Amino acid sequence: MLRRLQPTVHAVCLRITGNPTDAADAAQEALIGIARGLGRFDGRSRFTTWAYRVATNAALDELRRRRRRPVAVELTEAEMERARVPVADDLGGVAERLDAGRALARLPVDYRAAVVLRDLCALDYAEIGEVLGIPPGTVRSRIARGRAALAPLLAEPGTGGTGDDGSDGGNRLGAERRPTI
Amino acid sequence: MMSPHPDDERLSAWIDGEEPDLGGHQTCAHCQARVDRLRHVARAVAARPAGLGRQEAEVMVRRAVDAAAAPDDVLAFRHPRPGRTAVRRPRAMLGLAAAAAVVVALAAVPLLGGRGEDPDTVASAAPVVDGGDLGDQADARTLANEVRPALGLEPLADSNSLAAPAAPAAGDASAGRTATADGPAADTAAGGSAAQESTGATPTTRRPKRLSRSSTTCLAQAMTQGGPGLGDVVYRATLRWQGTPAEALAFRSAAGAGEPKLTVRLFVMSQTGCRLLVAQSFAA
Repeated sequence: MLRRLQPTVHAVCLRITGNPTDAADAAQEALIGIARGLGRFDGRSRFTTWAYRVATNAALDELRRRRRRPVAVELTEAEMERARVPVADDLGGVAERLDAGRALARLPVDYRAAVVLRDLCALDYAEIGEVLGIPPGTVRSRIARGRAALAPLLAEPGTGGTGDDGSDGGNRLGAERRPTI
Repeated sequence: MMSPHPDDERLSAWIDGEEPDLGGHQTCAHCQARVDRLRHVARAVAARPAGLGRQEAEVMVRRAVDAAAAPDDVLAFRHPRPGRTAVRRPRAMLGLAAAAAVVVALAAVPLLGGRGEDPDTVASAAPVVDGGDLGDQADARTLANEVRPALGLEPLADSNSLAAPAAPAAGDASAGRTATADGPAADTAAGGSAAQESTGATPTTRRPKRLSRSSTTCLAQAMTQGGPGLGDVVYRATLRWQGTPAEALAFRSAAGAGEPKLTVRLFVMSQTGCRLLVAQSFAA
């Protein structure tokens, strides 16, 4: 079971911490936590939701520990606010395109965690709220603002790979839940 | 003037299936473009980043299983960072770790006394003896004589006393061999003489300290080399093995019926990458 969880746990930790070494430490802590906590898992939530909570907490703990170390510059609240304007009006101001990992690292961690739990882990808003300890309405707002802030940082749709593994990605986990426009 | 279009929050929730209806704006070109952009972001984040290699992932899982079984491993296995000299941990966690270490150490006092307890009975509670830094080492016999006293074993008196160095691979603990990562195992003379000549150095008797298992950095890799039945780690030291910064890890296990009495297996792993440099076994 731990073998099956390891790739996703590591991916969550990498996306939230934005640093491979921190991610490895956080993923290790998370797997230890999962291995130790199996007996305490009460089944009130999905097992994967619980496992993601352990992974997210481990990643957030790791971020707290590294506060003394230099980190990528996060967007300020003012920049987040500017990102709320319609994306199409903002194209001229973007000088660089980042891969998903580096773009995520620019987001404030609260927004980053919500976006990762939604898009990488395919949790619904209620589950994300449970993991992060916030109401679903706040989850909705953070995901929307996080995506809006990420949009100008990422490569344009249709201009090539979007993932930092060189693939186009595709939301295999959550695609079935999305209506098409 | 207020925009007639749904805001980003509604669009974002809609692509997640958390907003039931956009009020007819599904067909609006302006909204369509914004939805495409948000969806593009979602896909980019959903693309799984490159993961760890299979071996690294396996080590991570093994460490988790190992740590879950050992209360003093709560804070184990942190990766070194450039310019990071120490890891600060919450005081409460340090207190818990210290309490766990005391309990483990008390439970394992008989092992260090060397009074012949059944290894099966002490293995799970064994502390890790800190051998400190052994300095430059290049000879299996000299290394054995550094390690043995710390484990309550007599230093080797002559070449016949080094018993059956073990091959590193699991299930290949054939008697009379010292294995190195650089080449095939070197056969030794009958009776278990060393593969390398003794330097004649006088072994130093170190007063053993006790460590948490978390002080070991190559534990999982050594366990992988040792295979099933390796037993618990009982000794750890740093050294330079033939010039390579390394970590020595010794495991104590019970010999099966009819097997030679090989109770301690010693692995020397490179500090960088945890490669196996040499392995040997001691008879008690």
